[in-house]
Amino acid sequence: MMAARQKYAAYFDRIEKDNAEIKAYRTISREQALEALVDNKSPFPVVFSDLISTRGIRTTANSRMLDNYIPPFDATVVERVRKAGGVILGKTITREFGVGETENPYGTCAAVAHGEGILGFAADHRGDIHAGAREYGLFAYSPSYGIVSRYGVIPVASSMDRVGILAGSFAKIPVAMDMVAGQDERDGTTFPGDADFQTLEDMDLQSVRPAVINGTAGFSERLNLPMAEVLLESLPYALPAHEILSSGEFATNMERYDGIGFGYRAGEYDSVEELYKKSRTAGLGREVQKKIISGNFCLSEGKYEPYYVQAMKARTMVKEEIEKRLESHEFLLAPVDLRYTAALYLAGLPVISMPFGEVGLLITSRAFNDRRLLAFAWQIVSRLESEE
Amino acid sequence: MMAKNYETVMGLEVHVELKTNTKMFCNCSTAFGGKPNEHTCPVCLGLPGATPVLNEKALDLAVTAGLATNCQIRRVGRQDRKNYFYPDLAKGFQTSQGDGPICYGGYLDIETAEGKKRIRINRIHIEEDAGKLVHEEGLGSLVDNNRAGVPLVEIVSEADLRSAEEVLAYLHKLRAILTYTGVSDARMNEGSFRCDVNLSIREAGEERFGTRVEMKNLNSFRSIQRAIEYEAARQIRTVEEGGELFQETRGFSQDSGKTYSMRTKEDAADYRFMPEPDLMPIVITEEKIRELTDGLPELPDARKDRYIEEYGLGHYDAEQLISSIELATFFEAAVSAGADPKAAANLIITDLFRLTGAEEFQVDMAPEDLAKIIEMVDTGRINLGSARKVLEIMFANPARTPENIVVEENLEQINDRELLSPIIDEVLARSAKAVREYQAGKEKALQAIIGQVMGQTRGRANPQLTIDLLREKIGWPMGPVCVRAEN
Ligand SMILES: [Zn+2]
Repeated sequence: MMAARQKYAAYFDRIEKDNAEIKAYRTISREQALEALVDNKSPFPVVFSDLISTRGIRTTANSRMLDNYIPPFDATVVERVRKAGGVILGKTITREFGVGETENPYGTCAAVAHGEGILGFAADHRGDIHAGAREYGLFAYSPSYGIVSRYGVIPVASSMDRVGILAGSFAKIPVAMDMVAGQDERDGTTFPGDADFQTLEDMDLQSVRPAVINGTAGFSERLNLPMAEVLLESLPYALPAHEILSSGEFATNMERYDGIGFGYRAGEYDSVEELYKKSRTAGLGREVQKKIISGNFCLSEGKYEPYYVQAMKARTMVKEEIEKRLESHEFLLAPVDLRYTAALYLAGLPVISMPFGEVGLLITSRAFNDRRLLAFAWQIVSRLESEE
Repeated sequence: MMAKNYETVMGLEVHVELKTNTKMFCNCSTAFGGKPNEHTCPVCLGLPGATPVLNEKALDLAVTAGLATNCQIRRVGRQDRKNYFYPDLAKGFQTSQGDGPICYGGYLDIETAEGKKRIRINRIHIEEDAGKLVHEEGLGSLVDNNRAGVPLVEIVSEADLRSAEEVLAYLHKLRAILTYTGVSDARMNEGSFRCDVNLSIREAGEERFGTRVEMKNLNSFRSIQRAIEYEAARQIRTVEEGGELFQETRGFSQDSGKTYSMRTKEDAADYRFMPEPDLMPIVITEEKIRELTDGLPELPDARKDRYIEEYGLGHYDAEQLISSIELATFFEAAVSAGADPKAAANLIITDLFRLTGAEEFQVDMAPEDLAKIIEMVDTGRINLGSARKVLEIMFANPARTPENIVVEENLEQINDRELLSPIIDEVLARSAKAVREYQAGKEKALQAIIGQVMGQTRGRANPQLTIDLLREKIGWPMGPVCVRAEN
């Protein structure tokens, strides 16, 4: 206990010293962390992005709107991580509500990269955590949509939002999955899915017939692994469709921030209408307001069919095409790029990314095939490590 | 100029609270009342990230409502977000259903004095209730979210209704179906049965619909009737005077008895419906439909047919009796306690309805006591007028027994010639004018004399015996007379 206290005190000293420079933490929770060490047999350091609700620890979505919001409940992922011994160092910087201005879009990555052995959980809706991981040299994992609960995750684009795992080494990802994966009765969109991620099977890389999307990045050569190339013709539709659908969902998810029940409220107003307007204008940043406006545009009368419905069709098209490719190739590889992650988030597929040269390496597989995807990724990681 | 003939065209939107123990998307209680915000949690307070999980029981009840009103049931459906800002709407959207309601294309049959009529049901969809704004002196407006997230169905009829009487018959029948099947308590006074009326007028024979006005905040059957009558007259008057009608939403003031404009079509919100991404598609299996169909109780119409066939009641009376499950149960219990069905139906419809008021049928007296009262009439112990008096006293004080009331209030019928004869002589002695008039052929005069006898005996004279005695004393030139035991 004493040793643990000293170790964590050292974490916090370093964090407090460096945070202004690394721009990782929005809220540092030293006191709560020291409390969490009491009777904790297997403590480990963990950070959550500020889009994930933590009971008793301020959760702001990096927004003035929620600057004073202390959730009365834990997100399911937080609850599960705390139960496993997780000691929360703090809440990390995100884009405002996952989409807006920020001092660092990859605060969670910065926190994980900054301290030894820190595990990070960050919510995102487009795969931005993989871009961050590439930048900070980390491993990132977005489990299949529906096997990690979204309960307590501040919604941005609900049908794409996921809690991703960030770590400095691959080995931490299966450990983290064992903590957080599994159906949650408070999130009706979750499923039982795989379990027991720490005993990954051996896999013969050749026989599982991996393929490279759109023939990119010379992965075959670098990995010394002959791979087929597959084309994704619908890929150009992925980002636009993602933009329209996520904006629509974002707009309605943001309606609750009206200055009435909780969050920022404008000081002076003459009517409820004015209270809404002033609170939202002052409480939300420009980019957030723009996304709300474009989302409402796409949902409004006369625009819903040509925009929203078309985007839903494009989503189905993208999803079906990727799933078709995955029928013949269990695993698909691509560089870390928002075009790919947006497509994979639209399709709800699992994504792992790892530091791999300039471009990074991203691997996906069929929905709910998380355990085999991690087994495959582990083989790739071993191969890369043995090469070095 | 001849006044034109107008027809009132109405369709109803009825919001019904489903009878579940917990709310639609969380485990909070749906109990009516409670301290403000006592029944709330992160989900129904709309806290960020608190995801909803659909209450299966609410779904079953909604499907049951559809099956009991002859609807088609959608096998794969979804829920939508209906977006609008209002302080009592914590999430800023109501989870509802847009163009894919869970039930559609049904009907129910109503019975009015004009006969039977079929009213089509366009759709039934599920949605959640909003919270409530409370205005407190000194504190301003406060939000109570106890009702937020309570499961509802909205039942939308086609524009098949043509009179206030039809509207009330439809509402009573709908309410009967919902209470029989356990879908809802359907209590108007607790807000678990709320009705909006869409009303337009057109010239008789015209096929096109007129400009539609939606009337809200109608919180009793009486208000509904008054609002319809006022609004139809207002629209006709406006058109007759060369004015123009607007598509608008109007409220009804109970004080003035008038409707007033709340908002026009131009102010109407664009609800920006979109599929609710936090909820999985609703899938209704054949097995589920079979299970719910098998679980349906005897429905009001079946019960009505039984009353007509077994008890020989008229269609209209039978329709009145089946209008609530409590009432029908009360009636049947009285019959099985030995009451003559027709006599029981008469007393209930003419007297108990008047006592309970039109809104809710609620009596604390035992049905056996009603049977007892009817038996006392049959045996001549009391007359019908006294029976009504006993009923009235019992209604106010159900702990008393009919026997006790009859004795203590001295209501026993006077069946004894020797007792009644001198009373009649006395009445005749001071009614010489009436007797003369009667003997000159004025029937009304006899009624006055009988009334005097009844008054003298406080309604206790045996009516038949009274007539017999009068016949003996002053003759009977007029043939049979209708005798009513008034008091
Ligand atoms: Zn609740």
